[in-house]
Amino acid sequence: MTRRAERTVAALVLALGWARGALADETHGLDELLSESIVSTPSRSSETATTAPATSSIVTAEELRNYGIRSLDEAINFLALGMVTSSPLHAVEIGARGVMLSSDYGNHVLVLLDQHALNEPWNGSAYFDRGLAVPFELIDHIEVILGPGSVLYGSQAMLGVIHIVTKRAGDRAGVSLVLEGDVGMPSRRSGDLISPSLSSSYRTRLGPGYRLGAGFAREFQLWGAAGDFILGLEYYRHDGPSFELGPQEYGDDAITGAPKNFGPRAAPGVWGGVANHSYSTEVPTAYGRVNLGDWFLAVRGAMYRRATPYLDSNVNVAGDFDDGANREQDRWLNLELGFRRTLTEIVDLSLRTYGDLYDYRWRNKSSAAEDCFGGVPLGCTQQLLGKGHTVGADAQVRFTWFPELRLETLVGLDAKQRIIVSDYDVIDLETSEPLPVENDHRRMDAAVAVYAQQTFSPTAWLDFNIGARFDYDERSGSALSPRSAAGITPWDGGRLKLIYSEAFRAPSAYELGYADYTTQIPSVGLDAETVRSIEASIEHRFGHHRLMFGGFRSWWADMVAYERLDADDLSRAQVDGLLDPSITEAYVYTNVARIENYGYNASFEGASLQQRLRYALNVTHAFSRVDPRDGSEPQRLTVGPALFGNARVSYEFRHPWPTLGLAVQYQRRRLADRALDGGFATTPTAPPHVELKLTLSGDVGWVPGLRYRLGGNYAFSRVSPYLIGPWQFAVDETTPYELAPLRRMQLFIGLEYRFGE
Amino acid sequence: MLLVGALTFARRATADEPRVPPRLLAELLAKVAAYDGHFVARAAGRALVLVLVAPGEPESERFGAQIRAELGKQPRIGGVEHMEDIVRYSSPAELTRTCRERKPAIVFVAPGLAAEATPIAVALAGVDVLSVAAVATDVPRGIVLGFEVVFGKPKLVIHLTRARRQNVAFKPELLRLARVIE
Repeated sequence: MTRRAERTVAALVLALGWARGALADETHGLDELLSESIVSTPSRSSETATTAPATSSIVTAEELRNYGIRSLDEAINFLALGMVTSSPLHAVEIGARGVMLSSDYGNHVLVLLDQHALNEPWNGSAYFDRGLAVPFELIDHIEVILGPGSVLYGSQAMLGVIHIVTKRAGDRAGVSLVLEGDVGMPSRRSGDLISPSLSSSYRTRLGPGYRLGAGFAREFQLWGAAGDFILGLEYYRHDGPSFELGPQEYGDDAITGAPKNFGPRAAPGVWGGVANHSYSTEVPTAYGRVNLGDWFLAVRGAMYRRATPYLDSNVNVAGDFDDGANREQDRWLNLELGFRRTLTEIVDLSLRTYGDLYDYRWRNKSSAAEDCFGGVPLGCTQQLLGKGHTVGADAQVRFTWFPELRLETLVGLDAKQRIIVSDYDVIDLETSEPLPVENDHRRMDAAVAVYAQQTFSPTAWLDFNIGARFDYDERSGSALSPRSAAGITPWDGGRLKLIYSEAFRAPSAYELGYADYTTQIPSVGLDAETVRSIEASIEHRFGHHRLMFGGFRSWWADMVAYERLDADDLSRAQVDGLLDPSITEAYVYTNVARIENYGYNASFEGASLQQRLRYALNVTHAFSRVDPRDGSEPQRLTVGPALFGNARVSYEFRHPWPTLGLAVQYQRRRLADRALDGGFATTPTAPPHVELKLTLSGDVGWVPGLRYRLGGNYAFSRVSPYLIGPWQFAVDETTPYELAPLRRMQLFIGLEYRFGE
Repeated sequence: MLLVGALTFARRATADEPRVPPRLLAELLAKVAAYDGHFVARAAGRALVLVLVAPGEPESERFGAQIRAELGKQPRIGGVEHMEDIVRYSSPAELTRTCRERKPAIVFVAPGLAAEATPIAVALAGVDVLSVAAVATDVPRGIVLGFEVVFGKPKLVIHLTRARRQNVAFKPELLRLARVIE
């Protein structure tokens, strides 16, 4: 055990001792039980987090409010255990237990909204910032489940499962309105915040944002059946703040020989300046759910549009500087119709049918000839359209055999059909005509799965949960995902868990089909990625306190990587007509890498002073290495931190005083995304990230039904682990690199009004 | 055909309401009963728990079997030994008669009896018994103690007026932890 690990454990033990003392006058056993979290994700049935066959943490709506949380990534970073996100100022990236796979668009985490998968069918992408696109006040709680979870959920659930559980109509009956404003403070190239002033030059650099929300819920009777309806609408937008970027001296365009043209907002041959127009987010979303008797219907419609203020390796590899029209956009329409009924004393039936419509658009304009196929002198606009539509059904039968033994069998069948369309166009800015770039593709594929789970408690202190899921996906063939878990209660308040689980991710339609005739050929025979994991944890509950320590080890195989074609493969692709004959460098997705990692999670949470004082600490430390399997040595993973965690404390003062919430997140120094392959003289590394979040919230006493919260974030770090600008790879040892700025400080104030309170 | 038949004829019993799992319900009840100042006297050395189920309602019958099994795993309820029995609800008068004859310390009302919660409460008025519901929505209808899930955590709901009518005297430290309605 490292010294850091020893210190962490010692701190937790000290906390345990202190909390025991603090509890002397409280109601012991009952407090323990009332502080249990009830989860439904690990085994698709209601159970306590303590007895569930997984390591999990729960973030409640109350915590979201008290700590000023306004997006899922904030909830993960400031409140959850074992997961962490990193923001490249567009769709944030997510990792767990030391594994963050940069540029994966979140497709190694399965995100559920009331059991409905939000990962889209084209690339498996999921979003964790505002792009989650779920009206925030509808969220009741968030279940964060760590580790492979394919046993009941299939593809994507490799790092874990995040389940957004919305409120019931009874919790929000009536009409409610939300108005929230925020402002991002601008910073200099050095990362220093610019001193506030009333000057117009300062005000134009601020990043104002706002969120408007409305909700409606009611319970009713129809046709003799009880029903309820809940609807949430939300619109979020922000523009800015501005960032000072570069300048990066690039030099001449390889085609024209003149200084490279980075567009009208940059000097010739130089990338950088003040990005005032190119950092924005816009998210309108609506989610509604109707329950009537045994039936339910859920509908979600949303859009996530965003612009990123710099070039990077992920979204804008090239493009004009500070062009706000260079942006991405996702749109969703999700429908689900379900039915649940207890058929007999033993048998429960659950049926769901669902349909998802999704599209993604990416637009990138570059005025530089060298960024465009064919060397068009005035540059080009690239446009990518990806569409993915899914229709599917899921049937589950649960058998409750012997209550004395808690013997339950769950059997399920899941089938879906997907239609994928991808269209990539490049428009010559001089002629407005499309360039002869061929890549359009369309595919239709199906996936079917059967799964079963058996729970069994031979004694009051021992529980087993054993299951397996067999998936057949036309994209990658078959996959078997078993899980076995044992839970032991060795003493009153204690719980020991032993879990073995596997998961997989079928290659996405994007990875299988994307090609553009100039940089990438379609992959052939891509297999599913797989992960195996073992973990053990011990926890102890006493009063309102819970202390947990767990160790894990996992093995990842067949990880999909973006590999450069060797000379032979390049020639073959050109002969086959997959690449233009003039191309000298191209890439393909292929299964190569393996990852091994191990480490520990630890958490402590509790409450004192009649639960007015609440506090928690979460720590994760992992050792992770990726083996590229190209003959080189295993390497550290980039972007994701090996050590990270969070701590929080809140105190609920007596009315009319507010509740005070303070949260802090920490991420140890991280290798930047191009640290290993960029070829720079010094390894690009982001310093440790420490961010504070302070929030005041409460009721506006003189207006019944009106609540407020206000607060701010402050990050001590100045950069994030992403290289920006045109220099993504070093030409020689003098090539400089620049790390991405981050939003160092934000302030917000919000009001929520519920009619009739 | 079998499926269609099952969907057509099976009685509706489920509701879209997150519930406290039976295992946790039993553990909670075992603790909460100790906060009733009259519980030990009422139990008279061995607490009888009658689990009231709706006859022919599959979910209700199943829950009854589950909660009986889970209560049976509790070493003590409210600090005393205990035994459980399932009773199929027929009428308020029959329930009153059963309670007067068997003198249960607790009547646990299973899901599926929501429409009967108020008649049950009326039937138990003046009877020395703690009535408990698996779901909180039965409490406003007259059941003394219920359980709900709030933000993913269990919460107690107590009907104080009904408690007094049934000689249940919860201690203030318990009321502080519960949502209390009058």
